[in-house]
Amino acid sequence: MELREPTLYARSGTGEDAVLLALRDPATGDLAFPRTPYGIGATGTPTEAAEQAELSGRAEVLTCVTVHQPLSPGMQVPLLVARLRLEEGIVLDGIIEGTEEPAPGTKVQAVLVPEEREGGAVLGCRFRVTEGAA
Amino acid sequence: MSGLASMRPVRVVGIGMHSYQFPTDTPYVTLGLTALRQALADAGLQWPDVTMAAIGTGAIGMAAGRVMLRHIGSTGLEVMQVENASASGSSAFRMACMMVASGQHEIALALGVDKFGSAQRAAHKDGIPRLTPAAEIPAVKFALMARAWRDRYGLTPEDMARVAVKNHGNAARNPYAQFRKPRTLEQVLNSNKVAGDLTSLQCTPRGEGAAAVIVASEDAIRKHGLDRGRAIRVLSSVSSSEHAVADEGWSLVEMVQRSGTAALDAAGVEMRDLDIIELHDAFTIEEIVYAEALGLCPLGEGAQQVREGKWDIGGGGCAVNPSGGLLGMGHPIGPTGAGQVAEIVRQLRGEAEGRQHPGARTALAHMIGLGSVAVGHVLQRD
Repeated sequence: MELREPTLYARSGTGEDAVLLALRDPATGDLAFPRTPYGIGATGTPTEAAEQAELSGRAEVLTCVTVHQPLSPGMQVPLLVARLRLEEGIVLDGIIEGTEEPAPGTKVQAVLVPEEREGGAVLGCRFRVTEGAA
Repeated sequence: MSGLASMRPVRVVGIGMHSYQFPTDTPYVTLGLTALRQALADAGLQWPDVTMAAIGTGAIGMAAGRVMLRHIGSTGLEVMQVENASASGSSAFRMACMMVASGQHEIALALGVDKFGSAQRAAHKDGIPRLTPAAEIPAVKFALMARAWRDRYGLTPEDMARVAVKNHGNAARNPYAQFRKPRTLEQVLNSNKVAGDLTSLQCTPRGEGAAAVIVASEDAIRKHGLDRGRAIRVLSSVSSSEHAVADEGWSLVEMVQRSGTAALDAAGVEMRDLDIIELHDAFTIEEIVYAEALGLCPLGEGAQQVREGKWDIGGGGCAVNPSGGLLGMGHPIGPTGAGQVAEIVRQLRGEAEGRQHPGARTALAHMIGLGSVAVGHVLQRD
């Protein structure tokens, strides 16, 4: 099955786990996600001078809410949207599998799950709870 | 970022509004010229006296200013269109102030006007797919902020709902507001759930409208015999954008902190001097967080201030969003920032009938624009 956004994530090689595709500044170690053709915003380094990096997809939930209304075309609700801190330090927003809001501190893993799209199913990226908050 | 302290004084001499309203078939030209003619009459000026116009709009399209203004007279004035998302009207006002302060013009107009429906976001054209497009939707973004404030500071759904009760109550007394009904805490809490703890009455409506503000130099006030007693001084004008910060992604808060400090410093006033703040409350959580970030109270104490009525008109402190804010007055995008200034001028003149904050002398208009950008102005009556 194809990935919905192959420039953002890839199969990790372990089950359904996904890795996230990033850029690393070779001089400073700064990471940028997503990987873009424009460069690393934190340092101004152009993409051509950056290294490609894979992020583990392991993250901690900072906060999470349930979206109750379909706020964009095709949005299926209820939908859990969380602010996450990746193991590598980047803060981003992701969709959590299921309908029960995880508490802050809950550990999650990026996974590839089938999503319906016009033209057939594709693999999207969501975050799956791996262990509860400490 | 720039203040006005090093330049010649600028004063607001005229304000005008077309009421904010739900989308209609009314052409934007009607909306804009209604506000403009009111502002000219309020100032006691004729249209040819105005030599520069900054038009704040997010959705009308190219050349909105000339297409509109030719119907009141093609006088050869300088016309500039200003798009800065929700801060378009604020940025147009800043541009008009700078034109007068720098001596480029004696009398300048800032006019915000918009219709709902045809705005396009550059973020949708950057060629970068999003991992979670849902999180880019403002209601979701601010629901996450509300939940973070709940987890950090104990903010409750009732605390947020009280902001909507206050602002809908203020809007009910504002003839230019889109919502004119007072709402109870129960009505706000029981309105449709949108995202997280945000309900529909805690979200700004979609709409249209216009706001016009005319600024002038001291020389122009003398030359045209304008009423200096009603001319409100613009003490500072600042504009900035986000810095990257590591604090769980809430760089918006840091931006508001810096912007508010800069606006007050440039004006030579302190937070305790402010009698009124008009700020960007597209969602209830924003009023609490931004008022805290601006320094009205320490972070995490905004909810207590709302519970105690300290941000109310006549509440004994600094009234926040006496116009009704974006929640009650509305947020048609282009006009919103100019509308904040118009409300403040009305309040500082003592002319805000039915919603006058007693003794108001100094005020801050603070606006956020998508991206994010922040624009702040401090105004004061003599």
